Amino acid sequence: MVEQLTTPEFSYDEFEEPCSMERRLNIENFLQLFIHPIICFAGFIGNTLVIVTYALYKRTKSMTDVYLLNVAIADILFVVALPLIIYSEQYGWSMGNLSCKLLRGIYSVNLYSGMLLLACISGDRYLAIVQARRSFRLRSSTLLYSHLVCAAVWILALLLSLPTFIFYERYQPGPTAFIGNSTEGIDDREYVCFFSFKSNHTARTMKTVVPSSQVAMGFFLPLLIMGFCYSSVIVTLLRAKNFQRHKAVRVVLTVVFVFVVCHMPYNIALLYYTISMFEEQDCSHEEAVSLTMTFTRSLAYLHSCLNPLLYAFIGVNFRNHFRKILRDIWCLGKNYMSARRSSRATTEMYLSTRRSMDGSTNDNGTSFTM
Amino acid sequence: MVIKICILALVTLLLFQVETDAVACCLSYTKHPRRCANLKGYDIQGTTGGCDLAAIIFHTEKGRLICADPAQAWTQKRVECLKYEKVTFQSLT
Repeated sequence: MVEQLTTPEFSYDEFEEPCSMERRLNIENFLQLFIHPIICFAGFIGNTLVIVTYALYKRTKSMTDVYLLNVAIADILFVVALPLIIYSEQYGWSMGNLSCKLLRGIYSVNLYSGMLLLACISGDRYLAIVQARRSFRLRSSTLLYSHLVCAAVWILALLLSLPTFIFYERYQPGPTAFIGNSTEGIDDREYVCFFSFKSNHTARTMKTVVPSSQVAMGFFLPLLIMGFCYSSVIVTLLRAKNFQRHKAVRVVLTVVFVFVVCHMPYNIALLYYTISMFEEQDCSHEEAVSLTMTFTRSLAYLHSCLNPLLYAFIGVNFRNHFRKILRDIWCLGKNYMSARRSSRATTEMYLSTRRSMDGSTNDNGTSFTM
Repeated sequence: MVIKICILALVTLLLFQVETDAVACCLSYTKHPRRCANLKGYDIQGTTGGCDLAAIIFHTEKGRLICADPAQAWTQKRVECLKYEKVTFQSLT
């Protein structure tokens, strides 16, 4: 026994040990504590401004408004869920199993609905510009349609997120059996919130299906729709004799460019990871892949705070409404101390002038006017 | 002032963050069978959780972990050996 203990162990195969990837965890920790809070804060402010503007000053009248409001709601739920997930990850999901399922589920629902709604916006712009003659007649009834489309998107997003709600569990990860005297640290292992399956078969299926559907429905489908709609829009715009067409083309190209730059890297990394998931890997290779996923995921998160700028604030109508809000808040603050009554009258006056102005403006293609 | 508070908050967050144990998974198998005498126990890595490869993780007497292919004959032999010889021996001591 003693003799065997002193025999030197093999040292020539390096990848025989479990791969711990501590470097990736450190970098992920850094991103979660320093970068993601900034993204969440900016996203929260931007999307709150969009929602407040719609709630107080601009009743949703066109299809575009309905979609923009829904994108803002999806984004705000996303940037609220994200810090809670980060907090829970840092503290071992101490809020329990339900919080694990709910937070991960909400995260997934808003990821899907956000992406699909951006595709809806491109479809709306396609109808407004390419099919302008046909949609002009339809436009009065489209508000109802857009509500129905949004409801369908949210239901689809919920259905696509069902596996997350069902299979995410809070548990202590680690080996399923333990034999020998090396039981150190088995009970103080940190809880995680991750996939947990009853059988190997469902595990294999769902571990492939969930990321595949995320890449397909949460990226390539919206990309395909946007590609078709926006290229038709650009072709129509370039044929038109409007002096503002170049600005509109620039807006469209920016929207598509930012979408691709934010989401393409993560989805390609995720696709690659999913394809090579069940094969043997080098630890260093796996570490590189997960590092890429960690960085590209942060890039994808960034999109939720760019959406208000790209879709809402780029529109001249929306900016006017937002300016009115600022003016009213300024007036309210200025008059609050002196006379409460008169300040309210001023606000009401602003509101009434706004409404009378709105009656004459045409909301077609709101987001294109710079 | 606000920036100072933010930095302070972040630093405290960093200092008091719980040390999370890295969830280590076997990603490949050893090509060199080990002798039973060099091993003192084993874990089973399933695929139903965070890991994607089924593996037997042997614990060596020197405290190292070795990933082995459960489909290999030698792996199964070492598992049997550890189950019936080593473990009973260790539980007696």
